[in-house]
Amino acid sequence: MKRIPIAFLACITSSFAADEWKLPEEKIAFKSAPGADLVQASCIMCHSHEYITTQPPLTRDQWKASVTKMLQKYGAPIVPEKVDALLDYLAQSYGKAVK
Amino acid sequence: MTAPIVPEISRRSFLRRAALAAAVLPAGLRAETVTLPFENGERELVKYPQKRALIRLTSRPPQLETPFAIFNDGAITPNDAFFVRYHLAGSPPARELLTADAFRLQVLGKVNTPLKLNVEELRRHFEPIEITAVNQCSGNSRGFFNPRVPGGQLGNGAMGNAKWKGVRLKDVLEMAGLLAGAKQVLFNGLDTPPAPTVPDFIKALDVEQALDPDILLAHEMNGEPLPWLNGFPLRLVVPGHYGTYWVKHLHEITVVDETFKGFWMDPAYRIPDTECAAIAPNTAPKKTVPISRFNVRSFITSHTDGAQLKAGVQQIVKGIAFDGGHGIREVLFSSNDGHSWREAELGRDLGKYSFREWTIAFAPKTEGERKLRVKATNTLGQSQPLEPLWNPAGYMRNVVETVTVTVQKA
Repeated sequence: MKRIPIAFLACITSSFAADEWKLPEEKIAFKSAPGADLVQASCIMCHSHEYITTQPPLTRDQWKASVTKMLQKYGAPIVPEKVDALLDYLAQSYGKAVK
Repeated sequence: MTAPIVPEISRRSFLRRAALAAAVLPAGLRAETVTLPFENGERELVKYPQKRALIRLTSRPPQLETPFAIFNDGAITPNDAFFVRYHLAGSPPARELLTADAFRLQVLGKVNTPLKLNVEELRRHFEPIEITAVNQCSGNSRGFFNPRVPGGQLGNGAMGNAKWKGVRLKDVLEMAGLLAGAKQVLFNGLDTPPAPTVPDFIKALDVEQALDPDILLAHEMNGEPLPWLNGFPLRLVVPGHYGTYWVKHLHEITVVDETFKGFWMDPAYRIPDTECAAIAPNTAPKKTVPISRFNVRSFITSHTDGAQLKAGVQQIVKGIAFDGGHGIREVLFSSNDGHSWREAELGRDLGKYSFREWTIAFAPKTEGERKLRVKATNTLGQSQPLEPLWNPAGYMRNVVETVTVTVQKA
């Protein structure tokens, strides 16, 4: 029997199997502090945690500008009365004073 | 202000995810990490479908950066190492939307004949074109900005060079026939916003630019169908221009008779309307314009910070250079922090939109720390600044790069 080259077999079995259409599972990894649950409820629907946790230490004003953009441009589910508490958490956990 | 409407389904899936996240990973399963050379630069190396382990910036939507060492392997970036950048949580689109049966490209709006084509029809009806071109994220290298700016904190790996194959956008637009008054062409992909309040990712080109014969509707990358995470089955390729225009999973081209004002054209992806898009750090631009062509960049790929060299032993220093499509004319190398420069030898010319490799021999004589620098110039005479420029969005970094090595006694 003639041997079928492996490369040919790879072609006919498709180079893109069903399990290759799965993305790695997402984790949520916010620093634990009062307000962490609020950040999850306000931010995680539209993006994963790294959008926050990989930022350089930002000032409270820079965090405020980000949160305002999320509210006004993207309609983030942030309850207006909770914005200050959200900023407290972001500025304390991912803020300029944090090293 | 009213509370935005949140779709119930999304909330439920969020709660499920949150519950999953409560589980703690055993130490053995913890991901391998790399640390990019700026504050808060630790990232996981993660394997995604059709990709080798890449530097993960974000997981939803996926944003993956190419480990820089890969750029030393050759002028072409392999598909499995090519960076990934999405904007919307509904990305990448599900496979059901991308199959040959399901996927159609539509051409709509101010045209004589609206078109609806599958990828096979595009291949059959239009001349095949291949072009080697760099794709680079507008915010590539944002993490190096000083002062730092908010946004995706990328190292230098949100770029890549590939051979793209497809058909000319121009040919498709001409088949549809532009109506008088056509002003811009809009491009929409199948990646979708997570909520109705989030603006869909739609990009615009002026009609005159859209008719540039170098712009492709590409279905192949380096001789293979596009990877899922790079836009399968069809993406726009706008050579010389930042990746923001290279719309992935492209399914809708709409010709309009006005200037499009969507979020991703305005206010997003805009640069100061100044020389080199630069302004004084921590100030705001007076006027902005949409980001467009790459500026000139060059990198040393053969040596990294902290490399140890032996005095008197000849090295080959190697790297890449590219620009916004005029072609690289000259690459200069300095082994003394820019005090003097020597011309490097350019590698094979793969076209004006491609990475251009360069090499130069270097035999350090004296021991101690040496700052190696590289500076490219394109055929228009445009080059790179010796000191970094600044803009508030962290776009278009192109400073003359420096690699600091240590020369030791042979």
